[in-house]
Amino acid sequence: MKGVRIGEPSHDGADRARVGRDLPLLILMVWMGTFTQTFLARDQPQNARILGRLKRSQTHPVPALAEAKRYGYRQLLPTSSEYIRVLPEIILTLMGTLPHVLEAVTNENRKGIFAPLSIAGLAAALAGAVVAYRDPGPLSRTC
Amino acid sequence: MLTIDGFRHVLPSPGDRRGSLLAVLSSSGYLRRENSRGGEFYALILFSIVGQSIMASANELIHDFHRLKISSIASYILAGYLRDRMRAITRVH
Repeated sequence: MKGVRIGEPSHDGADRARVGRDLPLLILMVWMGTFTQTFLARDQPQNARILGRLKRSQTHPVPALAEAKRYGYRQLLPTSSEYIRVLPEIILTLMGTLPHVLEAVTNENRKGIFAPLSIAGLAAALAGAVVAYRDPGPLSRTC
Repeated sequence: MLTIDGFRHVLPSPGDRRGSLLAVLSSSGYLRRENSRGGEFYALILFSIVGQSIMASANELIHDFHRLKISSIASYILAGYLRDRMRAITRVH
């Protein structure tokens, strides 16, 4: 590759070997692009099943949404126990956003606080995982 | 969408957090030496862990893919974090 300008062909053996190594991949790319049905035909039964399910859901509304229309959309909001199930992720997201906010108002000498802050966040997330483990289950009734 | 079960709480996510705890502990001295003490390094580690931890509880492939993206984008930025170092640039490329 040494001494070769961009746009000029290389006569280096190593470069040619590199191109040769990628040749099967190039052939596969051309094949996939030109004879698409070789690959897509295998997905047809699966696609038909998904389309059928979509059509059925259009005629029969999602139970959670029907329930929400009947009892109000407050039914769709997660409950406190559902929030606790994702407590570690909530803690980590907040602690991940905090350094960005603090960086704008922290001077150079005090930037060492970010490491202990993130360690505290990770420790809190570990503790949150212990709390969340007490009540396993799905995250939301609408899922 | 998400299922919070024993697998998620026992195996992957606490493991991720312990791993990232080690990463933060070991990197703080290195970042001080490299004179790069910005908060975004720690924020990226935490966001990467969020992605991995939610990925462990995804019960659909599309949600798994979304969480993989959250995690991998943060990891990708971390790989090239020290922009002025040649090794970091080659990692990104």
